[in-house]
Amino acid sequence: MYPQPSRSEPSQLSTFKPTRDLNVYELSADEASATGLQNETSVLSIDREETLALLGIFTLTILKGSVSILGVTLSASKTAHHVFAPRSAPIPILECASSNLHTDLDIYSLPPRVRQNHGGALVAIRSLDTGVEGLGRVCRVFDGVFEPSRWQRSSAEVIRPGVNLMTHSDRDVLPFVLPESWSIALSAAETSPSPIPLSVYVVKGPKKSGKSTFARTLLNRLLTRFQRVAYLECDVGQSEFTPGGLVALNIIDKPVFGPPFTHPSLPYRAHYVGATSPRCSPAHYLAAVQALLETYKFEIQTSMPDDESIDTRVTDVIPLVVNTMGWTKGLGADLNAKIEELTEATHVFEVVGPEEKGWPAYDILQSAPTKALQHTLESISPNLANAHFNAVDQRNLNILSYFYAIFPSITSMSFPYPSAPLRQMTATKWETSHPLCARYPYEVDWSRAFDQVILIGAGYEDVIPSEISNVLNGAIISLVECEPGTEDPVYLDPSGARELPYVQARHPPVPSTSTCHGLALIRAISPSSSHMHILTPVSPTILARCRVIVKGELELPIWGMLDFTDANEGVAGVEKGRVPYLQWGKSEGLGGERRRVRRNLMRKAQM
Amino acid sequence: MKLPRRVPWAHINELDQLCSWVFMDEGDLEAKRFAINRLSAWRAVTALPHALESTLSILTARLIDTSETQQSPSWLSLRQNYAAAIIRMVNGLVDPLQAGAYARSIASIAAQLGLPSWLVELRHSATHEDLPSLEVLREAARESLTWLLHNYFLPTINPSAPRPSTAPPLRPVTPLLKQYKTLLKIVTRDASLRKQNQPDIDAIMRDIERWLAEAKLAADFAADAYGWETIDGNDVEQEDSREKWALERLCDALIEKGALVSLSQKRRNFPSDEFVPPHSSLVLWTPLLAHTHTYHPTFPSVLTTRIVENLLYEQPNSGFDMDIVSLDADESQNDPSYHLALAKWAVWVIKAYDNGQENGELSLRKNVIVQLASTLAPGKTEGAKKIDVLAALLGAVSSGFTELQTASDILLSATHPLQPQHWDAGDLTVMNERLHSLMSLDGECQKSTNDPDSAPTTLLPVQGANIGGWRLLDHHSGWKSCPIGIYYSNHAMSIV
Repeated sequence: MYPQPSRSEPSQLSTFKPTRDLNVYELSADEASATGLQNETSVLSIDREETLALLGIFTLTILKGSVSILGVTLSASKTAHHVFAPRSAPIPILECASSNLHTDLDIYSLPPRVRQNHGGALVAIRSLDTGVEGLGRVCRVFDGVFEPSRWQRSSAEVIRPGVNLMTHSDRDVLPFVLPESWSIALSAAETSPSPIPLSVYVVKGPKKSGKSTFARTLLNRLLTRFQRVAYLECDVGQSEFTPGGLVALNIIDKPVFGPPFTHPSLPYRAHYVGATSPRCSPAHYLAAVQALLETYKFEIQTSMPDDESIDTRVTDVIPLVVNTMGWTKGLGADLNAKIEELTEATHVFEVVGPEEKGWPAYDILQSAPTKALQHTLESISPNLANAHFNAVDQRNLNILSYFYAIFPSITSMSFPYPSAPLRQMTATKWETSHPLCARYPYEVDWSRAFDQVILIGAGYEDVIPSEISNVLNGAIISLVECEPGTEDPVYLDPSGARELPYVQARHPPVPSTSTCHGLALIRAISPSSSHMHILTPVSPTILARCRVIVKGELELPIWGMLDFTDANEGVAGVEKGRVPYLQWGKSEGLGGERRRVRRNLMRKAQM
Repeated sequence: MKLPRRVPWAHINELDQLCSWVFMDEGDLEAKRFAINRLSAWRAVTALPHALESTLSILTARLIDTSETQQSPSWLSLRQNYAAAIIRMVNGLVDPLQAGAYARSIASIAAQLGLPSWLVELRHSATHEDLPSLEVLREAARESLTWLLHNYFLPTINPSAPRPSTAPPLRPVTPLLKQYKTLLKIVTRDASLRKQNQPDIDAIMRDIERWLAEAKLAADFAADAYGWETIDGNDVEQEDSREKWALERLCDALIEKGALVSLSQKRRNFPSDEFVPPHSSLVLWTPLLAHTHTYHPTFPSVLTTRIVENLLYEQPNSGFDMDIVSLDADESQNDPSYHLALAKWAVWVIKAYDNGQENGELSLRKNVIVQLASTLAPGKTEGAKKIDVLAALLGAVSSGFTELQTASDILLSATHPLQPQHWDAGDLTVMNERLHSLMSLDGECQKSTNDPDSAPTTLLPVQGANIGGWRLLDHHSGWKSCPIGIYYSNHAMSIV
């Protein structure tokens, strides 16, 4: 008779019981080289029906049979997949999908002691050193997320250094679960008829419904059939491959196993919206999406078949996955409907979330019937979202990950205007030994480097030219290259200009004739000369081409302004009270807070 | 670790300067223009504190009003300008203080803030009724700026100065609890009366919820009294500390005799095998506990913590009277049946709400055990009173959990002194080894951190980096690390 809240019992994650030389083999150096694997590799034999939950950072190579992970089935191949499994996201569960008893085309010549007696799949696991875990030092919220929590440390088993087998789920570790309706929809998306049609997959749904997770899973599934898949990010708040504020088109050729902060990538083409929502500039946002769709159609969708490739996947068609934003009410719904129309989608996946009060269901608004195949998906259970890490934390981490990442280098030869190469450009290393404030910056003479400074954001047109350096100091900006002649210069002869080339109320560069190469942090502006210090991971070969800088609402997270190496909790030897733009301790006055909005207040009528 | 907040000024002096532009000389339009330009720039740097947003919009409206250059002014647009500024100011001050689940009246919040009530009235009429007259709007703008000066600018610039507004005291919650108890007694005795009384019960539960919202707001003021440094409304963590403060006040009232624990000694405990509160109390209080838990997930944890603290420590005489805590300290210290009854409530709360999922790091159960352990630890037991109750509580909390049971057995049994350790010749070797490993650790740390000269910016090839006005600095440039926002040139450090 008394209310007893429901309890969520911890469930078993791994039925795999690691036993040395029975289902776990540590290869000797000789064995590894004879097999064609790198040193310090463990081979695991996963039987049918067995599950194996891993936490950490590792490479996964399928030696025999096939294995399912995060909704994707991987078959034996020479590929070493990079897997990032932090506690902040649902962790992957490995399962044997098939053992391939009949095909004797073994790719690997396995040592005899491994080869014998196994009916299951064989995988090789190796620790992967990327430095990404160092982001936990930068943003303490994510400290130690690649290791078991205090409560699970005793029950976890170390497979390789930094790779832990998790036996049970608890509030800190939750498993990736593929809902039934997702599985059905994914299978339907894969079995499209031959010859291969040009496919555009649109994923939509409200916030926190698992939309991004589904889009990533779909992307990975498509990569088992296609050599390359294009990914159009329209969700500027929770971007998969770039920091927020960008509408970006990425080419992906390797499945991505991990949350967004573990695979920041240089886009093929991108446009800067400047905020984590298109609320303030819906027209510019739509123009950016439209420009990227055109880029996709003209430059990416189809290419010459690569006959020399030994790849058995489709090489001459690149399908497109479009992730829409989670703002699905009011103006957001209108924008999403427009985007869906522009994409000419062949498949539409709609994650149906819990309906919000007062807003009509989406279907009522949608009038024009489309030819696209419609799939309705259930939203992921809120219990499976990790409560320790909220959307703001994740967004901050994505920005920080971008600034600390080391991206593949590109030469200007391989990078003619305006596009990046038609391949994936994902960071594989992070350099976190020093905080941002201790990194050598670029010294930029803005009178030579920039033609124009543009501000985009509500009310930013009120910033007068003499205040512009106050606005840019410490700001995140985007580096934009414009086609020559498309932007009116502020000064006819910019060389020797005394003032930053800024005029009030300029429109952002037109997406169809410009491209955003990435973000940069103006860490300081000289008060006396025409110089500024800039940090950016953008390749130095293209910096000089970015003659326009755009500042939006995006800010450097506070974590990025701090110094995790300063023993006195100051910044770079400067004590707390003297660090510019930061204030420690409570604010004394009333109204000292930013405006906060409550949308869940109960009014009289609801009581 | 407490995160600092991002502010648009490099140094507080800049806010001081802005303040003087706004308030020094009302007739100095040039200064007002400076202030507007600076605030507009700050808006583009980071989201402004609400008080500064309001200052900007009120100043802008006044500047249009006072500029002589304006020809054939549109008085309507001027009134709209003023009205929007005032509506947004009042809303922005009040909204963050809607801390509870149910809406409170704006007037009551404004009173707590010390905001003139006629501004609240003006907000209402400007929103829903006729647009107020220019005369009234001008006066409202003036009064708003004065309020901002005294309540935002001055306290922010001089943090040590006393806050001008004194908050009205928080009303006591005990009368609400008594009212609740009376109603529940009626319906539990005669179920046929439930339907008739249900609206009253719902109302009183809402009122308690509203009281919690008021208490959260009062927490800000109480923070000064307590000298807490943690309360600050800027982020979630700090929001939590307000919520915690409010819930603690409610729990203290619940723990008082006459609430969870009956006043009558006879009704407190019945000899039974189970360590649970008496049925009659459960029936009375579980609806309220469940309702509070719905809106305040941390409620169970605060309640158990508060109960255990009550059992562990002498009631402190805080000297700060919130009109809530009216425990007669001496009497309550020596009342075993009261303590036993409280302990049973703690156990019930744990059993009902511990799903191991919430309240941060520790589950309710572990939390209580940790709390108890520090007092029951070997060597500390002599000082603690109520040891029987604590032992019973520990036993009940850990029963059914093997690991916890073992731990608590150790705690309860370990009354004998520690075995003196015998010196062994090998010990010195062990100590030396440990010293070594510690020292080498230190050396490694030094290497990795105290070496600013090795700061890399990027591992990308530097070829072609010195083109088009871009030059990558390196260790030859003499650049040294410094906070973001400080321009380090070879000659001097300077803030823009």
